[in-house]
Amino acid sequence: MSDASPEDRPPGTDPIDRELARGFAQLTPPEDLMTTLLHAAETQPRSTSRRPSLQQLVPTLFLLAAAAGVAFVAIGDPSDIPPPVEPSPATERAATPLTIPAGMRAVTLPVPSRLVSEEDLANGAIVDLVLLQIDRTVTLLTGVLVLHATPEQLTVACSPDEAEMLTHGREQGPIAPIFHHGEQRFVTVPVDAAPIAAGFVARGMRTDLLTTAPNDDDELETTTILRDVAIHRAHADGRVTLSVTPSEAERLLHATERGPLSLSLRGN
Amino acid sequence: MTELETLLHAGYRYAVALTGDAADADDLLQDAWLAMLRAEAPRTRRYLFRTLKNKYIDGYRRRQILDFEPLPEQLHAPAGPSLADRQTLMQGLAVLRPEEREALYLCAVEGHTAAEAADLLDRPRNTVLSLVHRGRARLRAWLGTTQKEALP
Repeated sequence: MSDASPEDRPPGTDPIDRELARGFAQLTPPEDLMTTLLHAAETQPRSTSRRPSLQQLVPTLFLLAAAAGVAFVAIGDPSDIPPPVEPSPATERAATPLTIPAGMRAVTLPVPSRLVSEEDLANGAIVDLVLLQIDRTVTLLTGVLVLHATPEQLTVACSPDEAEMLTHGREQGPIAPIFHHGEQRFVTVPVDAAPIAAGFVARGMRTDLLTTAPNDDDELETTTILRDVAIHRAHADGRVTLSVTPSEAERLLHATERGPLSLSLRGN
Repeated sequence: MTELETLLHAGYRYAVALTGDAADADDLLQDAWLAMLRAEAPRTRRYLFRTLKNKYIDGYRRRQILDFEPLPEQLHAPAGPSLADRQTLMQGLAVLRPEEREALYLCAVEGHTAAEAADLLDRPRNTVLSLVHRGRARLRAWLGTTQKEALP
């Protein structure tokens, strides 16, 4: 700010500027809002560092690559990596709905029960909320706290503006949750039930996901929408819960709106 | 005042400059603050201002879709003598175009140079100078009119 040329700096001697500065100096946020926002800041874990530059990452990447090489030689096939950690529904599920945090709003959304696994439902869970439409899927909110969960509906905590967005969104189409478990995202989708019924599908297996839907010429076409996805849970009613990235979750949920999904299980 | 309180105060004033309305500024600050915390972003003035601006643009687009009608008192604000007075300030801000309000706030209140404000606003420096100049002129004219009306 100090090295700017003199003509670059607006004249602070202008009476309008002085009045504006005095007027703005009197503006303070309401006390209850300050309390709420400061409380939110105290309860939210603070980011400890900025994103490192590529230059800073090079030595780390080199060491990681070397370590991965040693591990590969020592251990063997990377498919031996243990499956994702199973969350414990008993410990996560609260008996009663959580209270609405100060300054927040609670919005209840109907959710498609076919896209929700009862094992994931927990008061206090963290979800992303995705609006499903025929031509696209839109992630409305990420990292939302679930106050109360049932297989048919979720009550979530959000800001007033987000409440407006969710209320508007639920009129545009169904809203599906993507559950967070640490760094992982879990999505439950209905699939071709045959391999599950045959007892072929187990937790920790990896699979490709295929969808069959009419193409532009109205002919049925099968395409692979996701490759090498970890199966977290197979449900007896012909659904699977998959461990995916946020973008994979969007593609998967979009595919469920277009046609049936099938598993193409991978060998070890 | 703690670092966080100072940041919140600065964010609130910028929210008022963006929206021109105290109640809207409350909502905007809350949305931006929670989004910033959720993203575990650095708690800096620059990041907060950027989040406020993005949230403001999102809200502005949504209001365009939903087509909210402004309240009559926001359209015809009563007169006041000086911008240093809170009520007059809010009325004065309402006569400015949003981009004039924002540019004038960054330069006159935050003390940024035109080049720094241009960088924050993603606009050419000359455009910022023009917005500041027009904003001042508009406020000066409005104050002149209201002072004349206030005379017996």
